[in-house]
Amino acid sequence: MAKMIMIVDDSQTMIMSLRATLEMNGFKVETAHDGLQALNKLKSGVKPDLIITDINMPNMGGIEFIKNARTLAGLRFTPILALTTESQQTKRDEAKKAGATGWLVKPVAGPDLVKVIKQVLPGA
Amino acid sequence: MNPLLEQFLIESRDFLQGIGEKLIQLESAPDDETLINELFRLVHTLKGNSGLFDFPEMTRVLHASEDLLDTVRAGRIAYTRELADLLLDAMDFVSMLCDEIETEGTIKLDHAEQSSRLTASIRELIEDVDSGNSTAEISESSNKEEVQFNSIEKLSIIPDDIRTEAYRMVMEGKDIHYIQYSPSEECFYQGEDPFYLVRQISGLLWHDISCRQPWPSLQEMDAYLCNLVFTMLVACSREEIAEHFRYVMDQVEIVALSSHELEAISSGQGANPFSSENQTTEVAYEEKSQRDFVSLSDAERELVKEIVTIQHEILSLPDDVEWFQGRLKAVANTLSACCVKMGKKDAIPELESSLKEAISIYNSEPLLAWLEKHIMATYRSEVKQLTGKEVTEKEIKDEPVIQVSPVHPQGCNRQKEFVNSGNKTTGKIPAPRTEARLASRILKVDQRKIDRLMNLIGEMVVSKNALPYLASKAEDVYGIRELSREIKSHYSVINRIVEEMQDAIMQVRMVPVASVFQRFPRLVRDIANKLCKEVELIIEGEDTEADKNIIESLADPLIHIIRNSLDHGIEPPEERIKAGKSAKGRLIIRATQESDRVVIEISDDGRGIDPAHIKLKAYEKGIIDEATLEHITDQEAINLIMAAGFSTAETVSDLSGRGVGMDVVRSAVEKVKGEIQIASEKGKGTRITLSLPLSMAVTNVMIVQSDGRKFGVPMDMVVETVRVAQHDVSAIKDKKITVLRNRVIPLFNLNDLLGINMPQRLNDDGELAVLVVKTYSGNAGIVVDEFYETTDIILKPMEGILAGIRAYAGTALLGDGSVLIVLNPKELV
Repeated sequence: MAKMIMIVDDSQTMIMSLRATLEMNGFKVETAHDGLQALNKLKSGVKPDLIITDINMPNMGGIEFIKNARTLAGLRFTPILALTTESQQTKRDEAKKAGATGWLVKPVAGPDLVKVIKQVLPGA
Repeated sequence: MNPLLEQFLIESRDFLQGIGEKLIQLESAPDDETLINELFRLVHTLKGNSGLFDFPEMTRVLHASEDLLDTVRAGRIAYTRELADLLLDAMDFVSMLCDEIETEGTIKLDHAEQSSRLTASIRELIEDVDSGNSTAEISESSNKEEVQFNSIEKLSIIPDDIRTEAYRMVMEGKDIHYIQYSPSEECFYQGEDPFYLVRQISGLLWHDISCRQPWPSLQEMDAYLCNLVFTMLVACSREEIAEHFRYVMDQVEIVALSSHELEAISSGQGANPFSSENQTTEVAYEEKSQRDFVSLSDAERELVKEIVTIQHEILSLPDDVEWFQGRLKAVANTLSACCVKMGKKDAIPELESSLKEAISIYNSEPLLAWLEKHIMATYRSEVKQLTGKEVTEKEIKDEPVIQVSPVHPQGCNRQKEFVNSGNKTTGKIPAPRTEARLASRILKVDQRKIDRLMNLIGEMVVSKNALPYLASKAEDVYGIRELSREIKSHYSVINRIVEEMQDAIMQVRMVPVASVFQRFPRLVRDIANKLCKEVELIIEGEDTEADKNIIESLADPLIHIIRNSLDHGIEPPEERIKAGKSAKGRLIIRATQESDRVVIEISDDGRGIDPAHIKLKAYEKGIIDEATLEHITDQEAINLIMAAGFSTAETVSDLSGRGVGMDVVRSAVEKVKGEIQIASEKGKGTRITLSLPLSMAVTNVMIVQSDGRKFGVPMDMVVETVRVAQHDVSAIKDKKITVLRNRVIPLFNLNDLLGINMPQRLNDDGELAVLVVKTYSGNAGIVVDEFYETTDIILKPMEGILAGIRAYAGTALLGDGSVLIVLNPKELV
């Protein structure tokens, strides 16, 4: 069974780039363009094995999304990675506090992405 | 271009547009936090995206802008006009890079300098406020990692052979680190898997798991809280470790081990890692424990008893479970450990054989028998009254518990599933609907796809026109009236559908004028700042829609008109006050729809156009002669500013004096079949009105014939058609003219204009067919052989090398399948 990864980012460019890498590595990919849509998808039964979310998004940002996602049944133990930039140390801490498993630093090169996913996703 | 880059460019344009708007909005509301946050988000995302590609010039500038906005957001620096100017410049630069990427596929090298200059000036702004803070941060973070290794004795639990190996590796110059990782209690809730993480580290020599706090009793234990401490000995660099544990660095202690430390521990314990004495130590350890059973403290002995009793209970459980085999092995392991402790090593072989037997017959009986024989018997006397009863009681009590428990969670799950599915059904109905609504509101489609659709529907319109031809052919040539009628009725159906379809596709191409208008606030602001004028811009009717091509072709003329208004129209504040006006000038841009045309009005309350001044200027420049100067009306004079080569500004300013005047505006507007009107009152202001068709998909042309060939002439250029008797044509020098209603009309033979060596044909009455058309220099007559009907066509511009021939507006397909060449009389004459 291919593992499913949900990408939450308001930038289609970012989604396209991540999706390409992930799909090449045999993951199924689900996307959402902001926290709200992602949350709705999760509530409607989408069950990703890993979530990668941007921090700065309209409607609902990444931090709030992580907080909300952690309250959903079945998502308490799902690894969530926050997409950050190198300049956002405080955001990382905030994300971590909100329940993120870890973070990725943009831009994410393909091999790095796969490496990190392997690290947080047992059996990937 | 690869699709990712294409997507990046499309998105970047959107972002840049948004950033520009926000920056302007912020000027009037510098304290609006949501605006700043939104702005930051846009720049941040753009920067993140640019990092996907190798455009260092772009990323650098965006990065600096992001940092600057971050300081603004944190309130450490105020939002000022200078700051906005700088950011706008930066965004213009990025936008320029985007254009270049689109056309060239990459960024040319010579932008590096501009990029670093922009970056430097942005950074300068930040550094003014920021210099103090950053250094403090660094020192803090560097200090955090340096944890003193205060627990060297911990090394002593590492088995000797591994320690020897580690010692050897250190001597070989490899990095050996001792890591202690204490995951936070809540770690499972953050999606962490500490054990997995530990096992994944490269160069793992040895690891051990212990508990942070003594284990509580099973009843009290919360299995979801992590109470584990992992200790590891790894052979890899500190950087690798830091990278591996980067998400949990605060929970990790890393200590580099030197050979000295490794040696010290070994000798401290009295064992020399170089001699392989470890086996003897192990033996000694066992002997010690054997000997010590008697000397075990009472408490310890109680504990062993307890353990054994529990094993007995476990073995008494029903056997019909999946994990039966594992359970037996676990029990056997525990029991063998107990045997060692109790000094009953000799019973172990028998224990092992009992285990094998138990597994093979799938029954705990052999083990129970062993337990009874070797251990319980010894306890019997004491245990009997103490635990005997309990055992049986527990058996009874536990049985239902155990039997229920595997069922129970399932039941729970099922219930949960049920609840979930209940949620699904109730939650699903509204959810997809809202989602679908959100998603379908706007669909971004490549314009080429729509253009293709337009072309197809155009061809459809034309080919449906073949049906009337077919109908008349059926009647005239084959003499089948019935068929002719049927074709006609069918035609009306197809005609209706095609027209509706054409209308629908045209609707798709309609975009609000806002897409052009949205650049104006920025434009007006920049120009006004440069000219030191105060201007209030009012935009109305942004939602008015028109065909995308028309809207786009409007952008440049409108910008030109606005520049003119600001430069020549609106006066500097002092002058305005002197004239009794408010210091702030007003520029109104209004779009409205009037039947099938879009009307755009640009009006200002500036100094207006002085007709006398224009007349004089025009005369000076030789645009009008003395006679005209005398009788020209004020309105006609004002219209002169649209004549080619006219520019009234005394000094050519940086803004409007770019070598193009209102004549360029006029030709741009006329190109999309629009009209332009200027009204002005001296001292009160100027109003320029552009009237444009909603769509230019269908062109109405008149078909004319010359030398047996048919040509189309756009109807909006045709003034009238007349028959002129040959004797009414006179010649002035080598030019032919005729007088029509007291006005002189120059005549041109179409055959001459097209280079066809044939005289124009006369009709039976000896008259010429003259098509009077509008040209840049007034009306002109084109002599043709014959006029035909007018028809709607889909005009396709000439392509390739033919596009350069201005005399032709394009081609169109006629209903009978022939190609019609459409002339452009303005360029022809």
